[in-house]
Amino acid sequence: MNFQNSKRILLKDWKTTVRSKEILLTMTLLPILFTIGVPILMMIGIVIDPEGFIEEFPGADILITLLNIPSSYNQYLVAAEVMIKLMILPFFLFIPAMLPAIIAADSFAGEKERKTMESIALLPISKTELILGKVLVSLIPSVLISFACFAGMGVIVNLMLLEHLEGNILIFSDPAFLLTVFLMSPLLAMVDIIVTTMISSRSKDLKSAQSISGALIGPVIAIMFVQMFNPSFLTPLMILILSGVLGGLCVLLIDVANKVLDIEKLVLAL
Amino acid sequence: MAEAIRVENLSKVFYNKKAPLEQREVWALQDVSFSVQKGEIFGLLGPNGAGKTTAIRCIAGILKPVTGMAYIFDENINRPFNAHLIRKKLGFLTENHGSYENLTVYDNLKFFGSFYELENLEERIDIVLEEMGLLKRKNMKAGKLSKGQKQRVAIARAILHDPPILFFDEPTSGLDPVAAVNVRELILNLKSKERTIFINSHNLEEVQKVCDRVAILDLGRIKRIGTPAELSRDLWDTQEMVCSLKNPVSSQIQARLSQLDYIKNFTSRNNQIFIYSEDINETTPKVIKEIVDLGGQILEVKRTVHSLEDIYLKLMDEKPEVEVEN
Repeated sequence: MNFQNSKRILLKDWKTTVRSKEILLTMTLLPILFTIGVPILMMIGIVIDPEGFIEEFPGADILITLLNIPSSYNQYLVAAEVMIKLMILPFFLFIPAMLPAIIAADSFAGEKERKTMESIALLPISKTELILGKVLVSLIPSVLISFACFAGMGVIVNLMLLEHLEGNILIFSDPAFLLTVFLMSPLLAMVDIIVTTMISSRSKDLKSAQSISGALIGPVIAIMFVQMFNPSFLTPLMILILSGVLGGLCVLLIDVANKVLDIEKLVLAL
Repeated sequence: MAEAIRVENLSKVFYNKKAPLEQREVWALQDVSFSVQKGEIFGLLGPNGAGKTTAIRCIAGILKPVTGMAYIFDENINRPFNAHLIRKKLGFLTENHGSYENLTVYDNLKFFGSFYELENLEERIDIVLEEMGLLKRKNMKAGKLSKGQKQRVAIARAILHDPPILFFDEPTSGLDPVAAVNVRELILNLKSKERTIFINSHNLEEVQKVCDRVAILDLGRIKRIGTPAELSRDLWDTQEMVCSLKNPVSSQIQARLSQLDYIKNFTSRNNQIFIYSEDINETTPKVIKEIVDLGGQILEVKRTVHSLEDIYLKLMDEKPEVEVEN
């Protein structure tokens, strides 16, 4: 296994696909809107009227109990914690799973469309090295954008509530948030990318690859809804269990991808 | 001489699920065997759909043959773990130019060249671009180039790592006459450096000019392999020599020629004699001597050689061999 070869594929795809303005714009604008724009609006509402804000939620008392919010938190922090756990945390699952679909769908379907697949197949590179390069070029930017949005959101929320923090730090000290952003969502993204890459290798063109792989977002949306209706669902233990499952799935899927990806079919599809 | 490429009983079938049952199997290659010597230029000729590109793809290890094997310097390229390592020794010019249109010419070459771990990649890029007349277009996007220029970028890519074996699929396709001549010179120059070159082409004139040996492929089967002279000898019983004299052909000369047993036939017209024999190389000096001895003044002797086009057309005209069932 020559990782340099995977890196070469990654850098080429970065230049040919990811660097395009349309893709970069889609990849950055949407996460910024959901993870920074929406929290800013929420925090404004909380700062103006924290009690009124929290009262709008049905069963607010039960929510506070379920989320194990520390009793030392003032009304501003309680409102912020409820909002973040309920509305923002799920976005950090959604974004890394959605972003790679844009690039991963292009991985092989794009090569076929550009009629460059044969040139790639004739290179001195193994199938595993090729798949790894294609997977990483989708994973790395998505995960980095997700991390950047997390950092940006955390800083903004804490700054907006600075005078009400009373020595507490929101988000960055929350194990559920940290585990979701740094463990579960990259694994979820990885699963999504490997499956999308397989779909891309079997699709006739980029459009059909994108439309089929779009369906993959379904399970992620399901987790989002579960979390929205039951904010205590993503506890650190549950995140660790789900991450373990996702990790195992990744290993299994890499093996499946290696078997499913048929260079011969890709070349003949020219 | 060592074998650079050896192909043994290679067969490849494609399945067309949408076709009627009896037409579902399409045999692109059927029991194809040949070898190419180190430093040789070998041409694979055949009509569209004959299986030429499939042959290159099988030899490159990107298509799996149903039977048979292909060897590169005695290493089996059809073993999945071997193929990508053996491909380091190969350079390819594919039917599609295969460059990334939104990358510059330089970035394309840098990407493809990087897999061969060359110490002086930047320098090599400049050298091959200069050789292909594209140095001034180094920083131009590949998509902005003309068809001929894209073809030259693809050739530059194939020769960038200076591989010992090169596969050229229609190398002069889309090139203007001057560029086509330059490519032919490049191919001959590579041969002088002991590179082995495998050419797929429709351009019979081009193949005749550069190839040492050719194989004619039709419906996935090799019809003939050999040098153009060997194929000519195989296909025609006699070869022709035309001898032009200063004066009309004398009756003495005609009488003498009719006695020579190594001549199959001859005709004379005014000052010219048309002589037919099985091996014109052997016959020519003997006939010249006989004519001169009988006082004939020879102005010119021409041997009519069958062109590759004649050979190709004759072979394509042959009915396919039919297997007889016992």
